[in-house]
Amino acid sequence: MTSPTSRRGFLAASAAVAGTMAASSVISAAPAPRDGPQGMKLILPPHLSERAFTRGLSAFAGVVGREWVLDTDMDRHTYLDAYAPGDAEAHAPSAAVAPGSVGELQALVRLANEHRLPLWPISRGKNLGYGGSAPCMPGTVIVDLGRLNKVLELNEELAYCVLEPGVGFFQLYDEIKARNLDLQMGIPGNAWGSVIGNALERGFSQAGDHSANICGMEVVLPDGSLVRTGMGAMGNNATGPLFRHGFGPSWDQMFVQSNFGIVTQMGLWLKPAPQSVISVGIKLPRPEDVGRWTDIVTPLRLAGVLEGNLSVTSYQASATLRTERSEWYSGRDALPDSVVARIMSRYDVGWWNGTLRLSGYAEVNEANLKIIQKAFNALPQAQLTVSRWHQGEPGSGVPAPSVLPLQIVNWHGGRGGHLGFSPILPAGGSRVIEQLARTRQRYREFGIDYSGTFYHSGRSVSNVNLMIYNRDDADLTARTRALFSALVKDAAAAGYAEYRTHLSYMDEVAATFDHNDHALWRLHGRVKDALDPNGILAPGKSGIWPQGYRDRRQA
Amino acid sequence: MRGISIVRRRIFSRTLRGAALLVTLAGASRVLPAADIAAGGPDFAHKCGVCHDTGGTGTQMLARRLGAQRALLAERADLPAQYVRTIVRSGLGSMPALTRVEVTDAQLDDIVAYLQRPPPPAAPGAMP
Repeated sequence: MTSPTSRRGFLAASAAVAGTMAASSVISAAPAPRDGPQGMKLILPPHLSERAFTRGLSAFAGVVGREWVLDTDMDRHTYLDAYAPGDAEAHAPSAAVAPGSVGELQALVRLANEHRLPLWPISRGKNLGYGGSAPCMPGTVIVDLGRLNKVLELNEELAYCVLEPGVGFFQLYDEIKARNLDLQMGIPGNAWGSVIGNALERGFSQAGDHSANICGMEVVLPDGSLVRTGMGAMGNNATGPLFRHGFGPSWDQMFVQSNFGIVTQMGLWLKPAPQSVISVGIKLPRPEDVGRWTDIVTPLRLAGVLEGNLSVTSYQASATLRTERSEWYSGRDALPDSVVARIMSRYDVGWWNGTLRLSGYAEVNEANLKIIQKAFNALPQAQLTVSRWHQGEPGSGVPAPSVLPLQIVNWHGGRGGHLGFSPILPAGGSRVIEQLARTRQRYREFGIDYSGTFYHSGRSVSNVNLMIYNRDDADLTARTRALFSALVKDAAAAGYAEYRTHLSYMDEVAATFDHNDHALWRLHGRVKDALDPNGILAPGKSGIWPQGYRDRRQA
Repeated sequence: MRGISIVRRRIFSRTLRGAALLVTLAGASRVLPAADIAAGGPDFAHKCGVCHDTGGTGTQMLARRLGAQRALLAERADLPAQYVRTIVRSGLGSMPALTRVEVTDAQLDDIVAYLQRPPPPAAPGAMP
């Protein structure tokens, strides 16, 4: 460990690279790294002197070794929000520490209480679009759980796993393949991250809500003590990852999107690999078709003909994945309808494009396909394309992890980033159309290209509204932020709120939960203060502030 | 090789030969042991291949920016060591920086050595 303000020669190294680039015509073809740590300063935790901060980090080093206390400018830079919609230093960490065991983590948490060092746990730090690896409150120390990366159990017979937080989707997928197990898992669009971290953020995929698969946890509480939930609370009980509730109160969801503990193990339900898959691609030509789509799939989803999340995405995804905006349009306003028509024509896509996936036994899939096709007779403009896969054929019926969707952030070129505003709506066509019209109008008002997806899960619909920006375009970024805030207000006025949000909007979104003078967030605060009186764990997460930092609340 | 996707293993399929490799590093020279190169292949596949494998998101974005010939990093011969180190720790464009927990300094050394490995010798009788 070095002094917190030392730079370990990194700036000199950056300068050397700049020199190398200037001397090399080959390398000069690549853009220079503009987002290096030059000028990044140490931001201390509130109410803490640099001396006290350094003393705390030294105590941390006594637990994990100097190698795993990461406190150089370079280290701080690597934990910034890579897609920050504005000044990344608004959420700058002061350092990071990486425990190699649960015992080390417990010791760190106890020392954090002693030294009043606030901690922000991350699993793999790939929560891109929501803050990445950065903390909510500047100056917070990152607890990087990436070294806790063991697949503790992987059970084919009962389709579950028990993981540590550092296990990523690629690692779990590879492990399933290496052991030749007939299992599949839900995989989000950005599969770079942690399986546990994604479930704890209520990530989802076509397979459904990943937090619904949580079954049993091991958690380090803010005082450093260790607890297991559910049946796992019994020392010799093997049903922790099999039965959700245990005996008495069930606590698993208390640790989801919260700052009440650090999850060190999680049981997660998987699914058997399918015998057969039928994919039904559906093109809808007009924006308003999403209303009929919703009314058609709702009864099918409630009856179990369809499972998981049923997605329908606007035309824009085809262009953002493959091209840059400059190829289509140079105006600063939102893409005009003429460009929308060109995009739909070039990629042969509808205004909305959905995929319904039937996965399981072939006979059941074929029967359900007939029901789906009959239901869509009510929407004759829908174009359905059916493809099939059966076990033994080339390819796979099991989704594989990928990060290909991350290409969307290159839409404006430069240092890209994205935000998603995702309110939850009732699964009703008229409500969906109202939300769409309101949202598109706001996008046009702020000059942002509309890009939306509706994820239908039966009774509710998650409406992900994507905003892409170039972080070096201050005007575009400012308009994006203004659009985001306008959408929060509009949704609240209509009685809707997000299920998940970026660090910068946690207070804003939390403030919209206003029943009985924000009674739920006052309850969160009471629980927080009871479990974490020193407020050392993730201050500000989900708008939950401990008493010592409550003056930091932004809304 | 354990824990590395079958797909991503293609990345370091090129033969690694020789006991030592002379590497030019920002105008200076140093000798890298072959073991670094051998370790760097799996490390590159595991840590970088997620995006920079054939068809990966980084490869596709580089293809648009620099052309298909220069899109696969594992096939490039024009990446100075210090440049690679800086990009990994700084990020570039849409690529986030990687922490020293995700890629340790030792692993980064191995990855750099792998990226600077010599091309495989021509097969006997092959045309120059």
